[in-house]
Amino acid sequence: MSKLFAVALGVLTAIGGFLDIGDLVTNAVVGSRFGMALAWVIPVGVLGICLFANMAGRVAAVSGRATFEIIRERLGPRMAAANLGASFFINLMTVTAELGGVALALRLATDAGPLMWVPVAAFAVWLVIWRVGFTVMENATGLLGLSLIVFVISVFLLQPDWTQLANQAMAPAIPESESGATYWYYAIALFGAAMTPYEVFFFSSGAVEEHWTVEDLGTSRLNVLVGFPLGGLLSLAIAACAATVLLPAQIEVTSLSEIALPVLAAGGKLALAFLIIGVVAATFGAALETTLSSGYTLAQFFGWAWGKFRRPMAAARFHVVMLVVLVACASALCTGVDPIAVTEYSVVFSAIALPLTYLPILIVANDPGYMGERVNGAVLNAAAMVYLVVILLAAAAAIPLMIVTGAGQ
Amino acid sequence: MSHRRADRLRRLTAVAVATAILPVLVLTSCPDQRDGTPGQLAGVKDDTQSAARAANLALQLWSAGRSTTQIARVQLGDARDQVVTGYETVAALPADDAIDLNRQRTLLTAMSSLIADLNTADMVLRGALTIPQIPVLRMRITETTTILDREYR
Repeated sequence: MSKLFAVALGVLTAIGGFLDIGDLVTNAVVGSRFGMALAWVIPVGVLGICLFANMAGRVAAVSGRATFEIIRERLGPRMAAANLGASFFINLMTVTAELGGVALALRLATDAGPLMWVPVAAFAVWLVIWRVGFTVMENATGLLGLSLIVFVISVFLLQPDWTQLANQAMAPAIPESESGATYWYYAIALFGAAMTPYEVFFFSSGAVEEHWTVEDLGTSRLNVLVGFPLGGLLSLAIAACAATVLLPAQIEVTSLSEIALPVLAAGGKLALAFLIIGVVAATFGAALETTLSSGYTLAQFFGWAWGKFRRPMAAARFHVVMLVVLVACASALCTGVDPIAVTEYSVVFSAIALPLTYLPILIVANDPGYMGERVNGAVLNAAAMVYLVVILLAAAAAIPLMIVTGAGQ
Repeated sequence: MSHRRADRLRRLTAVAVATAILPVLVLTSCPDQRDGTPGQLAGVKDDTQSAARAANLALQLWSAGRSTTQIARVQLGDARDQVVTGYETVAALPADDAIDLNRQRTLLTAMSSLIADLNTADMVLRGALTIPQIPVLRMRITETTTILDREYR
């Protein structure tokens, strides 16, 4: 019974923890501009993250080591440094975006402006990382993040024309007001938002934090293969809400407060309360994960002691890195930079960094020296290779499309 | 041997030229370069109308009791900020001809009116003003977006 409870908790946490500010903003923007014409990207992205997160979790469970430690050992410091550089830069952008997201979400509920909330959010993230246990931290934010199911309920309450939504999704067409370049730019942004590199590093390091062994592989697989796709459903619901209310009203999402409009129209003040709790939990949870990922990647590259399972004194450099990252990102936000703009850029830059993140994982997962008999099977490798081609295409097209479309204008 | 070397050199030159040309092509096709002042004016017009519609919907939901005063004020503030950002862009744009100048004037007039209406609506929500009432303000905001559609040519 307790085993079943643990599995259910893991799945629920994975659903609630799937969304971050990148998913929230990108899905709403896309829904308000393209309807459901880009809905196909979400299953593509979710399948990709399932594939590689499961792989990274298996590497950690079998070898007992996090992906980044092995990458440096297996591929050498140069390749690992390229991976580190790209991942760390994207991570910094994502931490900034998530902290901004927490501040913007808290602003929806209070009178204080987002700049007032940024230091509070950064301090709270640091405090939780310092004091709260890994499992409690994961489960609390993941379960509270489930409040975002309010988007799914809102879709039903809004009583949309289901046939029209299905037609938009099944036979995607670019609206007259949008260009083909913008369509593909947002396709890459959605793909980048679903496959953000930090998710894999966090998943792999989290497996070590929770002392996974080969016996935990089943639970890990369930968390990923059930939790993430259900999380993807939340993404679709956000896009559907925007497509139902904002697209017909010709409102293009440019702020977090506009994402609340369809939810308010559907469920009023009660729905708003769930929305605010969900957005705060999702962005706060993601801020914790990205901050930890910054510490994980750097500490694992340099071979420092790391992990929340150690006392902070025993992993001092790991904790210092996270503190510096939080201060730097909060300071960047305090200059007045728009968190939504940072979010939009971070998901596109994520797409650019994807090959550097996922190729090494694939190589390590095929190395019998680390994996023994549990190396990837032929089908898994074939699927991963297909994804690597998609990832490479997305990475190559991201910057030209960003320039040509003026970052999706 | 020399033939192979010449071939290789030719190929390298072709790659170098393509590598040099590609960024230039990409950079010259960015919207600001490609569309010039008319394109930027049209972009701001769309953003302004979108912000006005969002504010209108926020006020409608507030009037219907579906929204809280707090979030309605945040939504109005965001809409106003978007219009203000657009205003700053438009005001600083060098108009190339009389048509652009006319569009610029139309836009600036509409945006000024919107900013004033959104600020007024915020005061009404706060309870600092009782007149004009929200339905009147919503009508004015709708009218401004309609005027933009009609007069922006």
